[in-house]
Amino acid sequence: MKPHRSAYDSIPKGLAYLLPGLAVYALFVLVPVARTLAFSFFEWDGLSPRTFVGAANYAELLRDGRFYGSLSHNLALVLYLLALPGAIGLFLAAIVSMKDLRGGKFFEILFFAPQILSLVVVSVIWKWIYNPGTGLIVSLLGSVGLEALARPWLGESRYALGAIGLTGTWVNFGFAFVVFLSGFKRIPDSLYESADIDGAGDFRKFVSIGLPLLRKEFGLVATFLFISSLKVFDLVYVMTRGGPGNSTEVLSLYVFKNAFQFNRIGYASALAVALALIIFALSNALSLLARKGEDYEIA
Amino acid sequence: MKRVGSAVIMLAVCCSLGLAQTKLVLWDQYYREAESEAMNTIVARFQAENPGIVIERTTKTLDDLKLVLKMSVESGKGPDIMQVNQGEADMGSFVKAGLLVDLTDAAKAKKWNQSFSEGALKSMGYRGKVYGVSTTAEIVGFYYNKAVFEKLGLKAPQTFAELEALLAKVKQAGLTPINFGNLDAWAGIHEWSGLQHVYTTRRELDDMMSDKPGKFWLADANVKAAEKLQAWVKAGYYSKSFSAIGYDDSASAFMRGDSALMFTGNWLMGEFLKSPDLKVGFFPMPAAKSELRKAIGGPGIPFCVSAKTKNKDAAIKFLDFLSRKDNAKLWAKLAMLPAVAVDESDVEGADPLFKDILRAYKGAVEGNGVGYYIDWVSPTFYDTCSSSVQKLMALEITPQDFVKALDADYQKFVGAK
Repeated sequence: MKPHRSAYDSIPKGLAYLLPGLAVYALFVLVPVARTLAFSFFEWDGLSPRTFVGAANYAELLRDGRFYGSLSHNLALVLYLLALPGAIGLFLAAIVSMKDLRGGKFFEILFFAPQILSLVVVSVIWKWIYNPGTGLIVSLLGSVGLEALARPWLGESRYALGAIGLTGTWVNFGFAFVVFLSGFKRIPDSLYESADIDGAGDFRKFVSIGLPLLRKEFGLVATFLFISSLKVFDLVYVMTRGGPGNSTEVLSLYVFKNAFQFNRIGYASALAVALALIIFALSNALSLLARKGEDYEIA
Repeated sequence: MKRVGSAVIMLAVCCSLGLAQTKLVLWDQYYREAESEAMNTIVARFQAENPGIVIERTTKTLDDLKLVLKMSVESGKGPDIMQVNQGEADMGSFVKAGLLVDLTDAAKAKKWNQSFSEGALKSMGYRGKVYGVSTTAEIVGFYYNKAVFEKLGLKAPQTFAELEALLAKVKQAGLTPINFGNLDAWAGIHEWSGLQHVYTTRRELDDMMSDKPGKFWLADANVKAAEKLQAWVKAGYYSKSFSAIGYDDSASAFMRGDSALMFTGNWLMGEFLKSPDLKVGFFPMPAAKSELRKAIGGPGIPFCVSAKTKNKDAAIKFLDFLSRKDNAKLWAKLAMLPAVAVDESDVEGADPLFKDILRAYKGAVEGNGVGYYIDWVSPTFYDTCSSSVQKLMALEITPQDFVKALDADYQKFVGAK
């Protein structure tokens, strides 16, 4: 009997199989990335001839207060799009898994649902919820006599970023919940049983067994949601367009405005490159952090 | 995209007769059925009057037009006549690339100033020169709810003082004087610029939009307009929580009827005419003195002539034809505001609201009061002005800071070019 040979055994053949995928990837990812990088060294309005300006766009970026303002809004959103959803997701996953609640699947689907919706749809829905005249929140406050607490949340620079952020929390906590829940499921019951014998309570079990063994899940949730907080666009664009003033402007929106409103393709490209570098550096630092230290291996 | 039958037939007829032919390729964005019919009628009328010229018409959506126009004109394969949006981003880049025919002399020769005001002519061009002829126009003013006016015994104000008295009276009656929503940010530009238009002199306003070096935007009139806007915010003349209400939501709020006025453009007329119970009128922003009367707005997207055309004179002839009043009436019949001012009596069976708008526009044209969309002045001005008005109306910045922000944007652009 001839040994079975797979197409992957032949390197030229294998490469040929990879080519179509590579071509698509190159066309839609590598080429745009390379062009963006190239454009970032030019002054260009999108129509007239390009002028090479060297690193001038990057020098301007370093002096641009709006760049730092946008970046600071992105970092503030890390609280709402990563920290809060992570904490809520972890808490809920711990309850569902450690209490062995029935209907865990039901909650998984329910909490994960916002992740399936398009962010544009989510933003439009929350715009209605926040509407100061007819919105859900105002009606709820009104029904218990607390109208006085109502604010034009999306219309005041004090609240707008938080209001957008909480929408993001609602979208993201389901993701964290599902990831943490699957992590909890990986932990063998024997560990909890032996902890039971030692007389550990629920909290103790959570801290001493759950948390350390969820290291990989923490890494995943942190990296994924961190990237989502840095590249967030739809939520802000649909809900406030960066306003009032520039109080909710984020980096990707600032890139968009430069490219398509201000006709500054070169500067927009430089901003986009900066944004990509920031995401790359910080998310790598995060995953390094998550991998560091001894790894608990479950026998 | 649609080939126009009549043009093709004309072409066939003329060719068979062996006449010398001049062919003009026309691209426009009147793709909606009724509009397209009106345009076809104009083309047919033109060809009947000018047997030697054949027009080959193609309709495109505005987005398509923006997308392909530049490249096709540059390559020389584009149309002879096409619609090019005003402002830095579109017409500005065409002019800089030398792709449009300067029509300033043609405008003088053909006496377009008799059909359009000086301001309107400028608005159909770029940096003081005429580059096109528009068929339709826009005007921004106050819509008013007739039921509310009747209940409170009010009438459309003629002077700025009368307007302020009216606002106070509506407020006292417990209703919202000016229905407004600024979550989308652009509507706020109109609220301020409407005041700016009646505070500045013609000269001041033209200078601000001129692209010439100078500190025009720091004008005292601009500060005063900003102060008035803040005073109205403080007096509670605008909708409660206006900063968090979107434009569309604010339009439906106006239709619910608990506010007296809404300051916006004639484009909302169709919406208001759709609701049978709502009776709405329209008047322009009144001024303290009659010579200050000006209204935001102006001609819509103009028809321009490509610099690559081989039939420049025929193309200009067609543009001149577009500016004729009997053709303007065709647009008015469709309840579209014609760029050439027509009388309300020119339009049979027009709704009273449309008559109000026609009258307001005619007044603006005749009094040289056709103003501007100020966000055209630089590519960044829309963003600067909309965000600054948000801050101004949130009382977060002073009128002086506001005007300085606008000036800074202008200086940056004028200095950079």
